Amino acid sequence: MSAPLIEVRGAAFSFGEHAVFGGVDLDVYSGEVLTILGPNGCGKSTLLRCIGGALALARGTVHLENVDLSTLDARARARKIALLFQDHSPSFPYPVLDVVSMGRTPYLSAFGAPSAQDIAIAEEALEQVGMSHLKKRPYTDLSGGERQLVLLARTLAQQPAVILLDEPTAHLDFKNQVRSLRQIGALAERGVTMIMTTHDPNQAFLFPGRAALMRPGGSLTVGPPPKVITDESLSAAYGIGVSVLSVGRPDSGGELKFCTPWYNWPHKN
Amino acid sequence: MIKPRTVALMILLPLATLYASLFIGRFAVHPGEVARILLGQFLPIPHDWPRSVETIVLQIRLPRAILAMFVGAGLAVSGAAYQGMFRNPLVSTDILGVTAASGFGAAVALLLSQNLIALQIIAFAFGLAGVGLTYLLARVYRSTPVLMLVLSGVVVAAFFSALLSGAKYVADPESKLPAITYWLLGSLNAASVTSLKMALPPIIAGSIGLLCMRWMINVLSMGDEEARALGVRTEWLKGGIIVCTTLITAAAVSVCGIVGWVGLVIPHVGRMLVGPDHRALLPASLSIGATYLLFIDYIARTASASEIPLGILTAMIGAPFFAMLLRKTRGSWE
Amino acid sequence: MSYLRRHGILACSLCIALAQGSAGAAPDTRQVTDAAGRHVAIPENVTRVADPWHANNAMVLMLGGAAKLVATSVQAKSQPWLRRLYPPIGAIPAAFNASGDLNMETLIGARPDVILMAYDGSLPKWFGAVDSAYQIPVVLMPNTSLDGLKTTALLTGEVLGSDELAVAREFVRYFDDNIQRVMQVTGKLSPNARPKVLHTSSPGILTADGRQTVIDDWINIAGGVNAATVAGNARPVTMEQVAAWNPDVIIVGSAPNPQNRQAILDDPRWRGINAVKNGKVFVNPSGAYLWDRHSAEAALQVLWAAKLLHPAEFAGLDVVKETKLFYARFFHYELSDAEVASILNSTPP
Repeated sequence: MSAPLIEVRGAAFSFGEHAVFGGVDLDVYSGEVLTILGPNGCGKSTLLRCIGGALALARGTVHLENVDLSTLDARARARKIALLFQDHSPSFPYPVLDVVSMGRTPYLSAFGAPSAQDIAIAEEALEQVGMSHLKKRPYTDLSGGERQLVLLARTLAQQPAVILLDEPTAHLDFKNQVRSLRQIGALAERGVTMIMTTHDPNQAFLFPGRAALMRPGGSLTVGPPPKVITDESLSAAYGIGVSVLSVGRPDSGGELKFCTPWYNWPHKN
Repeated sequence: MIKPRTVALMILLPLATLYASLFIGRFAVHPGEVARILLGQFLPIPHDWPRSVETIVLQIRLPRAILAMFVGAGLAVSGAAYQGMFRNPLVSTDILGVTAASGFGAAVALLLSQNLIALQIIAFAFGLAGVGLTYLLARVYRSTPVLMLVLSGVVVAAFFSALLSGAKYVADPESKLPAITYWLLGSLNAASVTSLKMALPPIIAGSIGLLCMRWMINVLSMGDEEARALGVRTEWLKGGIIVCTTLITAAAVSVCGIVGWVGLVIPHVGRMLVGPDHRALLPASLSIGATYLLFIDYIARTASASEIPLGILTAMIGAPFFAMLLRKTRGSWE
Repeated sequence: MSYLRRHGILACSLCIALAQGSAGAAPDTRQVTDAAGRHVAIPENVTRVADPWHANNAMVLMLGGAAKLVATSVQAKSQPWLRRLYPPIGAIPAAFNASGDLNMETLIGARPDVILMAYDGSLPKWFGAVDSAYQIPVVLMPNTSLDGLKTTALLTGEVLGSDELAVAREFVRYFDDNIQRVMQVTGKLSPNARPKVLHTSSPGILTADGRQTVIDDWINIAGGVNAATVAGNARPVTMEQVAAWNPDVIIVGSAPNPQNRQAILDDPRWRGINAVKNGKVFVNPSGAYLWDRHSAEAALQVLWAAKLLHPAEFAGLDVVKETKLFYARFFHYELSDAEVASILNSTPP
């Protein structure tokens, strides 16, 4: 394989006294979608935020294209890394296009505003996620799923080297989850590098790229999803019985893997 | 963005109101005469009007009207910037304690029988000091979270309010106490060319600063964490907004007392007319604020022989209007 | 004698003695009718007086009753000329403060026989407590006109005692004489000959004293007309309104008078006013109290104002001499020339 786009070495982070993870080493390659799985509290969101620069590591380094991210200021970092947060409380009803144009902020001067060119880039990003028809609508009028896609367009407008997605489908209904995942898949196909945390192991099978199973304390098992996601590894990680099953795809004939937990009801008839 | 027609209206309306305020008043002056007096300052036309009328128009009404415009514009744009920064529609310019501190400074100056210029300087200095205190109190690990700013502002404002009550307590009820009370209610009566020279520079500087940051306020209003992820240096931006608004508000309070409800209500009117985008909202607030305070000043100085304090008028008009806004929007931003 | 009978007699005697005692402790009282129309019962012999009314303290001094002052107000104590004329006022406790609040403990500790207070139609805040709970008699006196000032002088004298009342009567005669002296000339003036007078406080907080006040009274007596068409004391007005009134004479009457007068002269917005153009901006004198408000020295104020407004008609009137005479006669104090100048210029001694 070629040199990794991102190299994380010896990363450690604590909230006050409580150590969240330590000694994390991770490589991310250009063009892949790295899915980080793990139970709640294992620190995957925190790790993502550390890689993205939203939180500062207690120890360790993150290098992007051989540049140590801690040496970059916020603007330079925002041009390389885009973050999609899951908790988001919009206040003002800005038009959707304005929200996407905010993705161009890292390229503006301290007192600047988006130029016509910046707006063109924003419009194109909106087109890529298929939301152009909503560009004049107030952002607060949109449903959860539509907002997610608009924010995704915003990260695209940042023209970053990598997009970090923190549990992108967490608050979405079934249909919007699929819609979101389809968009992420379309971006992956175009070669956009992404790191995604998820609570649903199934999502790791959807995209080209490796999976990383994280356990509390920070130990990571990284590799191709079929290797990383097995009955034993998931059962050990989540503490419940899980089976990874394979079925033939009805549409294309290929193989589709999915995980299902064992539902052991207390009173079995 | 904004329609050209709206832009034209935003520029012309304050200027027209300014012109009108030069001939409206208890002392009747003809609009034509006002125009000639103004032109006569630059062009060589014969001065065929009485000197007393010229004094009234140029020395009494013109400085007062200009002050009303700039104070109204400054308070409105400050309120809009704060509402964006704090992401809260109930925020006004007083939130960090500048008004309470400045008011106390003015009371001290009145107790010490200082002249008007000294009073303005002292009130301005106290206003800046009050906000400085709030900012220092709110510092947490090299950042100033919005919640800490609000709480510290409450504490500092309460502190200076208590000091103000103390000042009123020791004031001589024959002369000092009425002076303090009346001054605190807000009045443009101190307007003169000298007060303009002192008050206008900080108001203009602060307003220009805020206008430069219009787009960044949009981004900041999405939340501190998101703004940082988009490359905004949020601490510097917040600090910059606070410095600009404090310059404006301290200057305004030092020269005309406490005029409330402008920074709170005018941004909402602006949002109804041009939308929430601060690139349009801040300039619109300047224009609407200027017109509004000029209009309030008409009433203040013409309704009766005794001047009605500005603060009373802005509250009497602002509060019911805000109530109506609340009912209409049901608490949401639209 | 049986046990019961002996103790019974003892008990009865005790009761009678107590009754006698309390009857003897209750002093003879007399009645005065105050400005609120109340009939107030005060001791026959008043030896302890509380005076929260700042202006009236000087009156009490003038009438010769200063030794009876046992409680006063913060303002009165800080009046510089009053301290010069009556240094012991520094030691008298201030039971009343700036906003008219009462320190009950200080007042009770001073054990006044009566309280003297101004009355403008509404009772002071502390009236209920003092009157019903502590039952200290309060005598209310008028404070909204010069005629009221004469009533105040007489009432104060009546309360203090016969000596003081005699002085009060003398003062009222003197006051009436002065008014008569002035009105002889000004009573004949036509309305055109009466200059418009504006009496104001600090120009930063522009106020004017209007109709139905003491100030209006002495302006009229002195042959002027009040430029301010508002009613009441210290009404806030706009610069524009003042320009519309365009007074011929401006009298600055609120401390510090000289600085405030200078501020008016320096302010470009006042330049168009007649009074400023003709150099007729004056400081109101202040001595034991402010001459222009409800002071005993109002008797001098009418002379001073008349001379100010109509110098030609009152050429023979020497205000300096009159002031010295007044102070000598009523305050028993010989003023030097420097001291008179200081009073007329409203600066502390």
